[in-house]
Amino acid sequence: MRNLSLRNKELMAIFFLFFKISVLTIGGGYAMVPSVERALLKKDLIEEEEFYDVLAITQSLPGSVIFNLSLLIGKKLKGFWGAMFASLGVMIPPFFAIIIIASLIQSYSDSIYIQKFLEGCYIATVGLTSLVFYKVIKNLNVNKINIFLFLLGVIILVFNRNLTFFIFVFLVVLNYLYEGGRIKC
Amino acid sequence: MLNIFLIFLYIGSIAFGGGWAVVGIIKDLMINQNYMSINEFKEILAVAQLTPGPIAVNMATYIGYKYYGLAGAILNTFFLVLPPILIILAYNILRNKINIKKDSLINSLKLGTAVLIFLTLYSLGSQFIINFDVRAIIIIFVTFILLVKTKIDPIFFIIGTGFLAILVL
Repeated sequence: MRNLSLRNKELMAIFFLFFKISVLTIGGGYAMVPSVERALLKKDLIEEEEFYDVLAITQSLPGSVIFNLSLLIGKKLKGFWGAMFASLGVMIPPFFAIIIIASLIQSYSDSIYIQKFLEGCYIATVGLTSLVFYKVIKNLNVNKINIFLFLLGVIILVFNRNLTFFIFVFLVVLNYLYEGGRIKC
Repeated sequence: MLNIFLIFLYIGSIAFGGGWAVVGIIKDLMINQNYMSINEFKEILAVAQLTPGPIAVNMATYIGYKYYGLAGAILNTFFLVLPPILIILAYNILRNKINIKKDSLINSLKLGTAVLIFLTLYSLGSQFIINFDVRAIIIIFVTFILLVKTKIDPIFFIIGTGFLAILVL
C-alpha cells in the first residue's frame, strides 16, 4: 500500500513538472525544449546525455516535439503511466486555453479591428515560417541528390497536394537508400 | 464527424519535424473540403500561436471544438497525437527485429520535412506575392530578418504585427 502511494506521488510529480513548463512557455514546441531540459537536470531525474539521446529519437517521430519528448521521458522515468502523466501534463494547459479563447472569440470575430489584427498576425506568421524553413535548410547536409529530390518534391506537390503523403515517403526512402541505409528484418 | 478525425490522423502521421510541416496541409484540406473560410483559418492560426502549446495540436483542438464541442476537441487532439504513440509502441516490439541506420533515416526525414515546410510557406505566403502586396511582403521580410538576427520571442512579432495591422491596413 505504501509503495502504491509513493508511486502515485512520483507520477504526480512528473505530471506537475510538465504541467508547469507547459503553462509557462508560450510559443510552442521548440521554446519548451530548453525548459524541460533545465527542469529535469535540476531535479537529477535524467543525465544530460540521456536527455539528448531521447531528443534525437523525437526527430524520427511525426508530431509535436514537446509532446513526443514528454511521452519518451515519462516512459523512461516511470514506464507506461509515466508517459501518460507526462503527456497529459503537457497537453492540459493549452487544451483549456484554446477552449476558453475559442468560446470567447466567436462573439467578437465580426469586429473589423479583430479582423485586421488577425490579418497582421497572419502576415507575421509567414515571416516566422520563413525562419523555420531557413533553420531546416541550414541543418540539412546538402548534396546533389538532396537538392534534386527537394526540387522534385516541391514541384510535384505545388501542383498536386493530394500526393503529399506518397511523395513524402517516396523522397525519404530514396534518400535513405542513397545514403547507404538498408532495411534488414 | 469521422472525416475530420481521419484528416487529423493523416496530418498527425506526416508531421515530421513538428507542427510547421503540416500547417499548410491543414490550411489546404480545411479550406478545400469547405470546413472553413480563409478568414476562419487565419483566426485559428493566430489563436493557436497566442496560446501555450504546440501549433498543430492547438489547431486540432480548436477545430475539433469549433465543429463538435468539447468531445470534438478531445477526439481531434487524440487522433493527431495517436501516430507517434503507435510508432513508439511498435518500435518497442520490433526493436530487436529490425535494423535501421539511424543517421541516414534522420537525414532523410529532414529532407522530407524541408519539402513540407516549404509547402507550408508556399501555401501561407504565395497570395502576397501573387497579389503583389508590397506592404505585407516588407513586413514578412523584416520579421524574418529580425527573427534570424535577434533572439526576440516570435510571439512579440505576432502580437506587434497584429496591432500594426489595425493602424495601417
